[in-house]
Amino acid sequence: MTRYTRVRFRPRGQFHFGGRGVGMERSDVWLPADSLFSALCTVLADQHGADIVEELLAEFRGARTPSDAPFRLTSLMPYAADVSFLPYPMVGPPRIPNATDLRRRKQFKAVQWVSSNVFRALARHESPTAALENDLPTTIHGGKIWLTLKEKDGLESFMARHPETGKPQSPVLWRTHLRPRVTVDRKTLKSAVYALGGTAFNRTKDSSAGLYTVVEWLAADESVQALIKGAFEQLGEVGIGGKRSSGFGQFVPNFEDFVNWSIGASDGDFFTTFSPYHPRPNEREVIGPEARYEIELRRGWLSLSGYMNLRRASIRMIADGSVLRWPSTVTPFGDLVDVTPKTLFENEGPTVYRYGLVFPVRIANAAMKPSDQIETRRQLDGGRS
Amino acid sequence: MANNKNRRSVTLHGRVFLQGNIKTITGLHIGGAAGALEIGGVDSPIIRDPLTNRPFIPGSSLRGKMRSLTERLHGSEQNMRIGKGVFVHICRQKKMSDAEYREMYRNCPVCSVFGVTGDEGVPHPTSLVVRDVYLGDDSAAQLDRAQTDFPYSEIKWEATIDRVTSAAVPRQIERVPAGTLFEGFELAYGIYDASGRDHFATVLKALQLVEEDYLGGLGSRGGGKVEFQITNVYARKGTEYKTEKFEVDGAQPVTDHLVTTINDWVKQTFEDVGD
Repeated sequence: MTRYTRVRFRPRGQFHFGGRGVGMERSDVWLPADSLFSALCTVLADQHGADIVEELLAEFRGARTPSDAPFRLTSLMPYAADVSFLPYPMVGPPRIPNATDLRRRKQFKAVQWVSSNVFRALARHESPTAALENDLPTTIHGGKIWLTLKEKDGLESFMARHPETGKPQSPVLWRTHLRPRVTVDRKTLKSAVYALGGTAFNRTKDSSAGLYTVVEWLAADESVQALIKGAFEQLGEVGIGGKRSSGFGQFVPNFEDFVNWSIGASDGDFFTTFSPYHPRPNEREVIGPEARYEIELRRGWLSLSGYMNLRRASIRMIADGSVLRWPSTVTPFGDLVDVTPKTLFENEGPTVYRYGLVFPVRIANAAMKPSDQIETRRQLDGGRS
Repeated sequence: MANNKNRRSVTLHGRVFLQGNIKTITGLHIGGAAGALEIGGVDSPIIRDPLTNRPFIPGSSLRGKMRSLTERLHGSEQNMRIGKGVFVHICRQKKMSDAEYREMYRNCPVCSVFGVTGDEGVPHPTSLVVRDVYLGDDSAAQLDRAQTDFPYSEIKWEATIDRVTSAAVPRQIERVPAGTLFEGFELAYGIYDASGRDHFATVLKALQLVEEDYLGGLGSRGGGKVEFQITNVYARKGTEYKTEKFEVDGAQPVTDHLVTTINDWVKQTFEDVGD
């Protein structure tokens, strides 16, 4: 039985994933799961009608435990060839000699993405020896991506040219840039210039870099699975992110079904999440002692056929990569959050939800403890004082 | 996502895809951002792929030109201010009810095809998607061999000359040489209702208008003439999203005959689409 499906988005052009703030100049290299879920619902409604989306949302809202929900999915994260990247969990540097050295620790601090092999080693508190060179992380992209030496060698074919000097650089998996755009007056040819941020993923002759999500099928039967896979196909044609009608965001999805995704520890009192997480009231324990988390504000606009664009209610969610405490009485689940804008609410319009289900992966208790080196240093410091 | 109490819905009946290549007949200049100010540097650089450094045609450039020329063809009122002294067309007018506006939108060959800003409450999403078009590998190799002034591009010197003293103010314009082939051009057109289906002709006519006008800059000075080569046309329709193909023999130019036959085929393929 298929438990997981990895959907790889092979890009057909650039993406525009705008962030918070004014202006369109910024573009991220990933997309949170709530935005991905909304995009899937939109294409489902376009093709099959609103009823099918309402039924799907009702199943999510009616679920008492994670296994009752149809499925859950991760945020869109980058991949290159056969190397998939995950957010660096907030567990700190691994247990390696000299990790207390401030200059070395800074190199771990700069990491944003880790390969799945490095992630596994960190989550299980194994020494990622294959991903270290002289006790320092093997990184690319200016220290932002941590991977094994073998993976790094395998990605050397992702060649790009420096935008100003034109010199070859390798490996370059993606690059964000500013694209100048202009609106020209039809009569006078006067121009209004502005800039738009775009994220371009690299490709080689045989493979490409892009984005992927992992869908975990919970209560979804085969027909629901087929429906969601169809929605990914549709999304590839219409595009994801901003500026879709100008060629941004289109991709070709590739589906890979598998049964086990052995990425985390087998047991432990902590977990990390691969999607923004909005805990239910009975899950507040997750931000208990020793939890390390970041709260992010999720807000933005809502497009609904027949209405002008509306600003949806803002909510706070726990960010991807946060390390949280596994609750003692319940399984972490998350919720669909009501973000109906005031205007819709007052006019008795539709209720609008935002996806906030967690995608939990266990972290070993040992990974959360400071390394022996740090303890030794503390003892020494304590002794001196 | 929405739990419907006050039903508003939209149905995608299918999409029509047009694929092909774009050939530059004269030098093409689509402006990019200058990386740095440097002595001897080019004054007007072209836009390039941030990874390969190859020139490409942004979907927005092609789409913008298609829209602009369609507005001119139909004499559409220029009533939406974008910047200082820059206006485009939208159907919304002052003192117009929502029902009137929607009816006008449905019948407008500009708004219903090319869309409006998200601030407007319209009956369906933007119909036309225009993708970026990248330099073909064969053309890239050809330009490499030709050892052009810059990678894959040439420099054209221009000058403004004083009419009395003949003193010149020269400038350098970067452009993609004539004869270059950009491969993988694609338009995707969503059909949401009968009027949308009937407006498909607007897309084909817009391509003809671009061929007869120019793409990018320097058009009045000879640059930017392009030729579209249609290689593949197909539709995907219904909830099953089945593919139906229009037979194209090789790479076809956008002739009146091809426009008529593709348009008839689209009408026939989506004849059961109602309002």
